Amino acid sequence: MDYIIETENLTKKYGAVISVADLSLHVEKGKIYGLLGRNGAGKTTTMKMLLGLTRPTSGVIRIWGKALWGNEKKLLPRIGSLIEAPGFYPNLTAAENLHIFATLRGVPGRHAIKDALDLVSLPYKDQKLFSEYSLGMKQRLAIALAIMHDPELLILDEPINGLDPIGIAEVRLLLRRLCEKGGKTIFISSHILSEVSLLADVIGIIDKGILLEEESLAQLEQKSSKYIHFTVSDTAQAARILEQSFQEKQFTIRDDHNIQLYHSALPVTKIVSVFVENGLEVSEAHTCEGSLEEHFKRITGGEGIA
Amino acid sequence: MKFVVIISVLAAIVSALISCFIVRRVKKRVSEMTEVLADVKSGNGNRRILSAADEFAAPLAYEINDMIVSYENRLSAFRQTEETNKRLMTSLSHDVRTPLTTLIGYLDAVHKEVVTGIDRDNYIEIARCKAHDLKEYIDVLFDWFKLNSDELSMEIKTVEAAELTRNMLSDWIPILEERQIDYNIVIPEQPFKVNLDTDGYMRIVNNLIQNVVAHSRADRIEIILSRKNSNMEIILTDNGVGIEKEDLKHIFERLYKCDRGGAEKGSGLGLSIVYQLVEKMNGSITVKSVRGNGTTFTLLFPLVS
Repeated sequence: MDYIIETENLTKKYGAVISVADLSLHVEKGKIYGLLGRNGAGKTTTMKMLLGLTRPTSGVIRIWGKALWGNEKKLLPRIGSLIEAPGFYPNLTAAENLHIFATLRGVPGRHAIKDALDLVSLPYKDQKLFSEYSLGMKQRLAIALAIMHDPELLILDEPINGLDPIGIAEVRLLLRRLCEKGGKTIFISSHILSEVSLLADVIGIIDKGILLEEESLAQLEQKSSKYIHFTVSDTAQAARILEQSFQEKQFTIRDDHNIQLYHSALPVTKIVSVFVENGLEVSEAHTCEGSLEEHFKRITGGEGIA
Repeated sequence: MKFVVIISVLAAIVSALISCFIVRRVKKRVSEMTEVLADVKSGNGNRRILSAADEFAAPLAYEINDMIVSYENRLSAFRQTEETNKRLMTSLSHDVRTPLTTLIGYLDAVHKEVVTGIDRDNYIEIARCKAHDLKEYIDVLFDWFKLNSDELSMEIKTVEAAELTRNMLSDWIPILEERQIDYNIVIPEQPFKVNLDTDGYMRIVNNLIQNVVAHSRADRIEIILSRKNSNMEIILTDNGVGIEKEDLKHIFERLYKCDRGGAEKGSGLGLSIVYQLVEKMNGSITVKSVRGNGTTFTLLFPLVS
């Protein structure tokens, strides 16, 4: 597998304080990766290291398969980033501000500034100065700056900060579209579980600088959905018994031996004993339950994420 | 004289230096652009050449970018279809496996004489129904594949839709009565001339009613055909469970199923087929729903004047 971003044992110490420890991230092409963690978990430090803004104490960062250190000049222009507040001039308009960056960094087309502003629903011909912008508009402009040069990879630190619910939905849609239609790879951080689970394809959970888990949302949902899993000698008979003895129809047969029963309030032991009475061998039965939130609570050792 | 010579020599040296400098800049720029193009050539369609607007190479860079973007857009449409087909294959194997294995479960039980007498007959009847459901599912699947590979030949001609609809709905009445669903059907006497493919039109209306019967848990359905401006309008309303707002946006997408995680019968293709058929006949379909309060589908087809 070729990863767009790959880190190996990335560690950052500030004096004696370990901010990020042994982080090994894997971001696939064309996916949205959500780095989820509470405030102070090490998200921003990780992103700063990925963007070459601070040097790791140890460990390797590879972007597009190339070591970041030594190749910054080649790699960084291909990334769009939003980290903390970008330096915009308060006495200029949005378009004027973007124009300065366009001249400095270059853009891919004649209408890049207007296109970027359109994408974040900010007006192009507007006399409003940056200093008069609301927090949400400033955030939109920062996103416009990140996407203006149509980068292959976006690294966005808490991109929905300061946005109202409609703005959040718009940004979510924008990022999804960039990823699905444009084939961009997006790496975002957030401390809001519900937001990440709506947006990301893969979630990395970071707590106290340690990456606890890195899994696709589909896998996580599988883990956190409520069902009873049985491993039996014959799923065909198991299915018949579930229908006939328990009037259960919400099951999925995975293969000849594995069957999952959804939305059932029946006790597992009861089902198992009826299976056995009917001559089935049951080698495994377990209940999988709990929301994503509970799952995170479990893996963070009880404190939870958000 | 000597002075003039020195000046011209100096000028020559300076201009040589300047042109050297320019040549180096151009060379550097060209090599950067070549590198980007090599990356694009190796399959990275997201790469762009960045250039400030006033730079000498800007028009060339922008032109190349435009080309890359337009090819990339076409490729991404292909990739999305491929992705959907992949998902379809996975979900298909699950959707077929569960009912088929269950069906086998019943037949095996009969075969091994786990049940006898009336139970045995019951089991065979259940297996028969399941086989029919499975066939229905596979028919839907076949339709969908035909629609999506553009192999479906539509025979669009001017038909009288009021009579056609009346005949179709009369077939539904016994089914509605059997399921104890109240119905109110309003179709005016005057003719409605519309350009339709008869089979496709029947499938649209049948699919929508089938959905109400199979999934909505409604006990009342209303179908009203009327004239609206220069269109024939069909409004189909039920008082069933309704559709969640979040789901409503996606229901015409292929493979979208509202009831996630379970093994609810249904292919997730029905409404996608409806949508595509309606579009092919230049009609439109919209949906309104309130969770717990029922759903309304509105179909519009342009009338032939």
